[in-house]
Amino acid sequence: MAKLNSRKLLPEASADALAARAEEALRLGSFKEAIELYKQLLKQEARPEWRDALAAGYVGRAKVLSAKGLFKEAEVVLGNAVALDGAVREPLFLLNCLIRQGQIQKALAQALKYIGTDALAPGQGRLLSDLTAALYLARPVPLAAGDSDPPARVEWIAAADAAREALAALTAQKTADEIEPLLAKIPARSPFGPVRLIVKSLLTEDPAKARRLLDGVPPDSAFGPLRLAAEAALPGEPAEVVGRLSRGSAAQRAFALDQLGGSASGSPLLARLLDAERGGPGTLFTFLSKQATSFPAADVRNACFNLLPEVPDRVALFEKSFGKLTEADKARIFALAAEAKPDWARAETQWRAAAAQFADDGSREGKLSAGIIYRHLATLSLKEPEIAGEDMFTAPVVSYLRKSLDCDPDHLPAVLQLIKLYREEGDDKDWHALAEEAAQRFPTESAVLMQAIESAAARKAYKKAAGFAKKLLAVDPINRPARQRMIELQISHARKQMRSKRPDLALKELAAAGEWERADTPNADLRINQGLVGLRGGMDPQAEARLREGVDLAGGGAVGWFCAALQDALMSPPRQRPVALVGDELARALRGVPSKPDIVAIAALFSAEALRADPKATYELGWRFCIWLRNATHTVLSVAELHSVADAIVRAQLFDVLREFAVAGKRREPNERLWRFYEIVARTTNNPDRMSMAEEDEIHAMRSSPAIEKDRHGSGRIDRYLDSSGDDPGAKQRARRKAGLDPGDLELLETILVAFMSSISKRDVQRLVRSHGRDGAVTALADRLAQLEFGASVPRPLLEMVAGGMVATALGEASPPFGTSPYGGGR
Amino acid sequence: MKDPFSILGVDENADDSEIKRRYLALVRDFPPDREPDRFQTYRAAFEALQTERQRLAARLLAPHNTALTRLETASLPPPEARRQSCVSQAQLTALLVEGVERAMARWQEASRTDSA
Repeated sequence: MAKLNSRKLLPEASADALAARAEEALRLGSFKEAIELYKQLLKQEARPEWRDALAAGYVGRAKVLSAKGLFKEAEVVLGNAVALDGAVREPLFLLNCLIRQGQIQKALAQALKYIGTDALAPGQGRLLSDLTAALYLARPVPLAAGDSDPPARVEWIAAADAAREALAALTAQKTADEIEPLLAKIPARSPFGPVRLIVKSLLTEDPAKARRLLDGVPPDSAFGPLRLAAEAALPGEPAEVVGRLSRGSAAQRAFALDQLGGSASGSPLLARLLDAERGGPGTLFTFLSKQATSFPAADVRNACFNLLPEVPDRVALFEKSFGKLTEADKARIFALAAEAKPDWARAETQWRAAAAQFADDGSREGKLSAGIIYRHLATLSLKEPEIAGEDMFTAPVVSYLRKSLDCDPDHLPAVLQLIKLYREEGDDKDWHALAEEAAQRFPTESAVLMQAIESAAARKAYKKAAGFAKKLLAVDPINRPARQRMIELQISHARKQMRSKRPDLALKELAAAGEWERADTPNADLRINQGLVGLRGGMDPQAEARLREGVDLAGGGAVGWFCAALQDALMSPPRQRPVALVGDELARALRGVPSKPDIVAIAALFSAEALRADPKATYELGWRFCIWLRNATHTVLSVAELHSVADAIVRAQLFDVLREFAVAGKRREPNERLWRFYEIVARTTNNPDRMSMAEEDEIHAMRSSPAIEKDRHGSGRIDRYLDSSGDDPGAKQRARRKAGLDPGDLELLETILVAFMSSISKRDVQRLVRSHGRDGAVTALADRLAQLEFGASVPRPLLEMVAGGMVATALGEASPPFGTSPYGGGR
Repeated sequence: MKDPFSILGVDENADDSEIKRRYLALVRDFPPDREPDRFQTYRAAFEALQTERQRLAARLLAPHNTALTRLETASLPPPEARRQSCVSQAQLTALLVEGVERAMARWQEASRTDSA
């Protein structure tokens, strides 16, 4: 169309206007139009710049054609450009068109014109020289240097001659002694250098030396396939040799097999086998199933069996040829096939069927196999949401791990993983039961005993915890975490005694804690607590010395006295003044300017579990720390360091301090997005509801950026902010407000309902009614809804009302509320 | 991607001692200081097959090609059949033309990327 229009308009248009249009067409890549326009212009006046532009149009058009694989047409169009003034504009491109058409001789003749000239840019010239070397050796032609040839061309021709002679000697099966002198004539740095290395590698008896020689030839150069073929022919581990052969092209394989002596023995079969393998699993299956006489029957059967997951439609054919498969094997094959698709729902069904079959066979291997499959399903369920699990009330990973332990109770990693999951999910009953059981089953496993200690501690069964700790230390006497945990537990007990005004009992607890201490690693918290209890109770003359020793162990200075003050705050009853010595020393320490190590160390103290559990007791100290930090907002902290400092600041609600850190950080590292996040946290006083629209967009873009996705701490911080799930007073207040849901808020209610209904399928509700009865189903469903994201904040009566509605809808007794399709998003 | 049984060159029903013996033989032939990459491959395969459960999992949870590898290695010509430099001009031509074609295809792809 453009061509027609241009022709029609040409006579009326001025040369300048045409030239402008032609230039624009060339710039935009409309080469056909540009060619037509420049042809018209050249008819009016043979300007050299128009001729060059027409040539550029031809080259551009030729490139478009070659990109479509039309190399013959591209060559013709390039020929038009050459016809303009006899110059080849892009010799490498022309060479490409010729080679891709298989016109090797023509390509060689064309390439040889440029050898030794400086017509091409250095990079292109080198590539052309290397390609010409390979082309020349592929189809040698008589070559002779002329008197007027430049030295570079003369050298190239001499090297070409030497390489050709060496290869001719090789193909004539001359001896190494005869070939070596010919190889010596090939300059190593010439484009024919690879020939030296490859031929030498073929002549040597030493495979390591051959490999070293071949390493000198880049695999992506024009000599690459020859190098790979020579490499494939090297002797080695049979599996490795086969691997190299199967990776090579047909030409490489033929060469290597010939070198390995294939044509003289049975390797045509190997070549056919490798060809069939290259054809895909279907072709290979067909080939193998016809080879019962050429190969051992058992191996043929096994090889076909192993292919079945890739070609599950051949199961019937397999059974016809090799006999029946077990149900477990069939289910496994279909499960693997479904995974490859991937069809996770089907994979889950098939794996479950396979596991059930394996478990039923009663053998040890069957049980272990079932355990392996259930663990596999547990792992899959963490990655694939389509893996639904065994029952609707238990997370799939938990239900599959439980099943795996039913089959294989001795699998320690599964036990530990399940304990971890129970703890994370807050399923204390199952956690404690499993931890106890595991401690009996694995009485010498440190990790299990540590979990048993934690479980006993959480139940406040200190004696039990101590029993487990003793068992653990009998197995692993140095185990620091266990010793530390036991000291912490006894310190925590001592605090309780102090709050009940029983310093004598507290001192006893601390003395018992001392038994867990190793002489070479004195415990700072223990010393501090011993000192504090002594000072408060007035019954230990060594109390001050112990306290000071503990402060020194904790780092001394501001860090040490903060540590002491925090321990003191945790043990003192409400509204009691701190120990005078601690208060005075802390006040003295805070007169200085905080250093970076002090800031980071004190922030870490505030992140300790005991402090988080009792934030009221230490609130004032947190506030004092942040006031002190005001003097140090210029301190260079990394974002990672600021995370824990920010927690302390947010708890103290001194957002101006946080803002100053964030602004200074942003100035230093403008590309670090988390500084901006903390700036927003400070501006909104850690309340996400106060974000502006722009800030919301910014935070969401930040959260989904790859850098933050990878940063577990950063993404966790942002999530906590967005969910208002921090442990600062503001976040807690907002959470309380949220719990008082206004039932009149129809929009929110509708959102919750849709979320509930799409989380449970109609079929599941019907199944629940069948198994629990109508009322039981309503109760069970309400329990389930309470565990969902919105569920925790919805009052129980409302949950039961929604559950009743869902049951009625599932039984066809009522229409869906709010006109929504209740199970539209169900599984 | 080869399965650990094929990498070590052992039967899929091989037991602890057989796997260990084979692994040690491979490490002796290809020590880590001389062949670090190869050693890593063997080490990873050995570690994937160290316990009965791991071996069972390797057999159950992924298609493996142990039997096929056995067929292929059995079809390899014996080492004594290896011939010294029996190269034909036709083979050389095929490999050199393949190299030139591949180099040209790479060049075309690179120039297309550059211009884009």
